[in-house]
Amino acid sequence: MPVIFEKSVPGRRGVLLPECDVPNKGEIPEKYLRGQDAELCELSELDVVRHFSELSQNNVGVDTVFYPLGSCTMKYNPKVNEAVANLEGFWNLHPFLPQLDRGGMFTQGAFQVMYELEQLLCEISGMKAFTLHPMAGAHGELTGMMCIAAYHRDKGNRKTEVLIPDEAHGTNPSSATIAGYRCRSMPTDKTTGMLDVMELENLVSDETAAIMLTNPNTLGIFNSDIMQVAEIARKHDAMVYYDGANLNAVLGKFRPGDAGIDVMHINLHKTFSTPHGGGGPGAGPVGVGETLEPYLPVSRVIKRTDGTYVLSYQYPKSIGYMSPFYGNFLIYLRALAYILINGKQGLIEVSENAVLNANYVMHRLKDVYALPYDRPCMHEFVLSAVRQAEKGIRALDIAKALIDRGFHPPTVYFPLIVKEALMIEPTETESKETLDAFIQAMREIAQKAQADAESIKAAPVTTSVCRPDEVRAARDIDLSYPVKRDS
Amino acid sequence: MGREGLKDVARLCMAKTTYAKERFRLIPGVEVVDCGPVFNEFTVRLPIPAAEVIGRLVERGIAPGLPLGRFYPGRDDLMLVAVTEKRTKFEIGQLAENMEAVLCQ
Repeated sequence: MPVIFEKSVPGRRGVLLPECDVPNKGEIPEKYLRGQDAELCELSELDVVRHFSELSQNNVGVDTVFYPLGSCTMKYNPKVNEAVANLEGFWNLHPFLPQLDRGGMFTQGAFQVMYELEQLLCEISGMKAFTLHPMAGAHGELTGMMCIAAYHRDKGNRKTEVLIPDEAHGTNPSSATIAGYRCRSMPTDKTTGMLDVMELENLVSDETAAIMLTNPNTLGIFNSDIMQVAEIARKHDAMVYYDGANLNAVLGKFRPGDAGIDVMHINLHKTFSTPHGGGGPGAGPVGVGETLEPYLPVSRVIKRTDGTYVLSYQYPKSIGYMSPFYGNFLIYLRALAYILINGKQGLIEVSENAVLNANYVMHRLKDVYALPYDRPCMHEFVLSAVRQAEKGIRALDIAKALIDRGFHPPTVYFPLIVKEALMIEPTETESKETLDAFIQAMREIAQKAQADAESIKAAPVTTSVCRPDEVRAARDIDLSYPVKRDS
Repeated sequence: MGREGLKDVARLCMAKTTYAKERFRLIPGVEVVDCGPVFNEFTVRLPIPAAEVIGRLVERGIAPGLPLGRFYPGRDDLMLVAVTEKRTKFEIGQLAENMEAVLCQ
């Protein structure tokens, strides 16, 4: 497919601007003009629309294929959320407006969206207060860990380390490190797939600033010892951080705040269904219990007694600003629409169906792929391609073979504690027909791995690019293109 | 927009900003700060704190600019006005008329 520069036609344009309606033409002084025109494409609006439509067809997304990317919750995003986010009264707001004198009276609707979303997240999670500002899950982790660090500094605690399970998302140690702590890894119990509590008791000390947990964890297993973990932490004045990336498994079933969690983040773009392919934008609101509330970022939206809303900065212990303005506001709108449309019963069914779908697929595949932790899963599960690896077929080969069969691959090689990991998260929005088709494809690949391994190693054969050097493609990316210069 | 369209946007920004500056100069008590060439923004000095003027205009449904005292302590009388290609002569006039009215309050 040609790049857009090759489609350029001199003199063509998409938009004709209105005639200048002011008397003084105010020409830009010659000395400030560029020597030659910018090398921009010259296209009609239709040219541009067709170009980008074609590009979009060269991608796969959740609107085109089943996308069981473990730990990413690639559920279908209802289009009504987009309609809400496209209301002009919201997207046409300038973020400075509420910061101007009396400007807040023109942003009451936006404030109410933020306030009500915070209240709903508190109800869903059991936490006392939320900030919506973090702009991604990892940004939420950092915000939470900075609140923890501020708390310990405020109390004069000498804390040096954070304990993190060996199956954790890689962002957990990154966030803890940036917040100033050394990270220590805690082992997973090989029989239960849960954190080894005895090992935790050996590792925890008065120098422990926090324990970071994901529940259900990245093996898709719910840690039923979570309250015990919180009690152990409390004995050492350590905080418990809950990575809410997997919240889609427990809506209406388990509230982290009720289990003694001190701080957590929620990936709105995962659980509450806002499109996050291609890097987002996302939103990683952070919820805290009473102990950490004074440290939340500013600004915060508060509701006055007369029912109006205002931005408040009166939090002297706050960690300060974590994002420009208020975070990704249009993501809040989509998430709020999703929560309100589903309602309490709908959200419960979301999690029940997510868990049911994952267990269904797991049970239909565990005779052909190894299942290292063979117990009921939550919203996702982790298979291992160790049996196929004996024939030279690795998890990556299976992922590539799935592409030829019309499926986005699952997450591979994560969590790190499972060899040849295939981490599968079907989500609640997929039909049984889709799940069955995926199961059939996975079983067929397993069979081919035994009988015709070469055909799996050759995959994908249906894509324009087959097997790029994935490390170089990520780290040494070259997007340059020789543009024909005007003579 | 493309190659020609972006040039048109720039020309309109410049023309409308120049016009807005001239229009602001006609408002009693308002000084257009001459701090070199401008493109689509300019600074005005107001006879009362800019935040207060802005507040009065916001009540009339106009967000006229940013109070610069927020970014430059002690410059509370300065306001930064932005004019884009989307603003019309009528809107610029409306802003100026309302500015004049709130300064007389």
